[in-house]
Amino acid sequence: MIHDAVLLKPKVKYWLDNLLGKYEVIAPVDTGRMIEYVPISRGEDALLEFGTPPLSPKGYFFPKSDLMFSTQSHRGAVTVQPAPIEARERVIFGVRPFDARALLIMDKQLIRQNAVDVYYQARRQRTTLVGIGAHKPDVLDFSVSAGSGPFDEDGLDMLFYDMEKEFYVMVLTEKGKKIVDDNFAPAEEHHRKLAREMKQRAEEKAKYDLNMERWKRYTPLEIFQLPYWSEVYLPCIECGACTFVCPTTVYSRTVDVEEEGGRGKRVRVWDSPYLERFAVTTEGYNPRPTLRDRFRDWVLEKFLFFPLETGVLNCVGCGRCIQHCPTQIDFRKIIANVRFE
Amino acid sequence: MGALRRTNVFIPDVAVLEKKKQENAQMATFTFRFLDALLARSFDFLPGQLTLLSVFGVGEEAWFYTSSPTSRGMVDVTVSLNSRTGSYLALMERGQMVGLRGPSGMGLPLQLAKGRRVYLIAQNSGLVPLRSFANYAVDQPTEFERIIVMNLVDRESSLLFSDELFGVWMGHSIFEVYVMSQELEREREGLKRGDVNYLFETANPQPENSLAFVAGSPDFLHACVKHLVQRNFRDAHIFVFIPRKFSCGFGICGGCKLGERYVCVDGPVYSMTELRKLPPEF
Repeated sequence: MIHDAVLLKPKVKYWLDNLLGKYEVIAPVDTGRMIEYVPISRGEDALLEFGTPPLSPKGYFFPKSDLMFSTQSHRGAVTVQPAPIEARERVIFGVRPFDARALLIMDKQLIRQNAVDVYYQARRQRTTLVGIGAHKPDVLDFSVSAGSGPFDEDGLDMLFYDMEKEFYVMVLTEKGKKIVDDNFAPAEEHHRKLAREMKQRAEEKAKYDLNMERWKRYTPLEIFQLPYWSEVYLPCIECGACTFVCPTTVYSRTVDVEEEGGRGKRVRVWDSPYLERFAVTTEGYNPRPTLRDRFRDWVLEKFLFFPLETGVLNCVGCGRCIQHCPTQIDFRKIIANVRFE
Repeated sequence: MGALRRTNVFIPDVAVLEKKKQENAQMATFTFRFLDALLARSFDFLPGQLTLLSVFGVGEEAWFYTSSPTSRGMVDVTVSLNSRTGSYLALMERGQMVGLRGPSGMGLPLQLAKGRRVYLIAQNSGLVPLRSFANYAVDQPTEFERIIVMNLVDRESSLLFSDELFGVWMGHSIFEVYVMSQELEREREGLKRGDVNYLFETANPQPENSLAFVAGSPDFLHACVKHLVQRNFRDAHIFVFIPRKFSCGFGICGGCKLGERYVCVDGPVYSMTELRKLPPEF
């Protein structure tokens, strides 16, 4: 079900104000620290034009610190109370299309055939995603080459095209249809034509030749064992920044917290496979003892192992890992320049 | 039995500590009973599967079930006392409560093993994941042609499950038990001085109608696989326990990943046929 509409830019705030009556609304805001997705209380606070925010809205589905359960101990007896499942519906406005694609990749990891992360699943179900296409893609955006794009529709409920004074809006799902109100006006053919051209222009810019056709000539084991991996990791300082800004990554661990009065809780927090203790077994064995091992694991999980399992890259080409790497490692080049010898 | 039992996979079942037994200076076996009586009666797992054991307020770690799945009502879990959870469990009294999630992983190929000669080849704490299978065979001896335990330890004080090794298993008609210690002051009945080569020379494993289950340090695993292949065991009949971190226990946190495989979902036991295709990260 696709239909379209037009929303004048000055009317966006009125539309968001209307939504605030029924939904929690999250939008990109300049918080003074950076562009962040935060809950808003006034439609006028939402930014309409912005570059790639440092963090995707991933944290609203897979929070940096996520309560799993609480416990209460009394005279030796322990009761376990699962974390409540939030029920209020919410709208995230201003999602970059590659970040919505990233959520589809997270779905493959968190909503599995044999086990479901019920907290994540509930947040996905109660959220409507409104995207704003990147008509001027960031210079590091290679989303088209990673299977997404500046106007990728998959995973979004609505997609906005910025046409200077107004937005051309594609309504992509029933969830999207539910939030259309009388601020929207019918679209005309010239809007559609402009949108097609805008998409085409943006897609031309969001490309980088990853040169992965060559990978098909080698087995996964051969790629894993290439001497190349012993060279390319050297600038890495194992800070984990690339993993924490990545919109598709779900590495995590849990922490137990003891509180007063016999109470306690278990919290899941983000983790990074770059950290030396990440894969250490309960008995102290580390299958990836060197930084070379851990760097290779991160890169190959994204571009080899996850695709083997699911058929898609574990990357949407947002470019954040490159932008935020303190030693300027360019993962596009690492992939494109793999030396098969 | 490969998937966790609950709808919300993060929630442990509360279990009561019934018994603890020090196995050696580093390891102890804890016996738990699920608080929920129905669960206690119905809970099932396969030898070689793991539980995610919570000491509430301290944390959660993965350990092998070490009792036989035939022992309904209670489960044994053998734990390193040097670990985070183990150091707290050591101080716990009978009646205190922990959390258990699981079972996690696929465990040993029990069906494939039926009617066969099964070699249980373990080094030091490698015997932990094999104890459940051995005690299952004690309870169901007609299911197997023969069980051959080949246990190598660094020193006598590293021995685990001595009562079973030198008692129940050694005395059972379908068992053969070979135990060697690399360092040993004085040999005695059932315990010889030896290394992995001498262990294989003495036990002399035969490939016909046989499976081998191997657990221990990475060096030990490599040495055993080499011996078994030299003795014409097929890759498909050699099963190896891969040391891997189990954290979430159902394939999302990434801690256990080996190539495209989630070891906590379809491991930690793999045939050599499978392992030869995967990154050699062990």
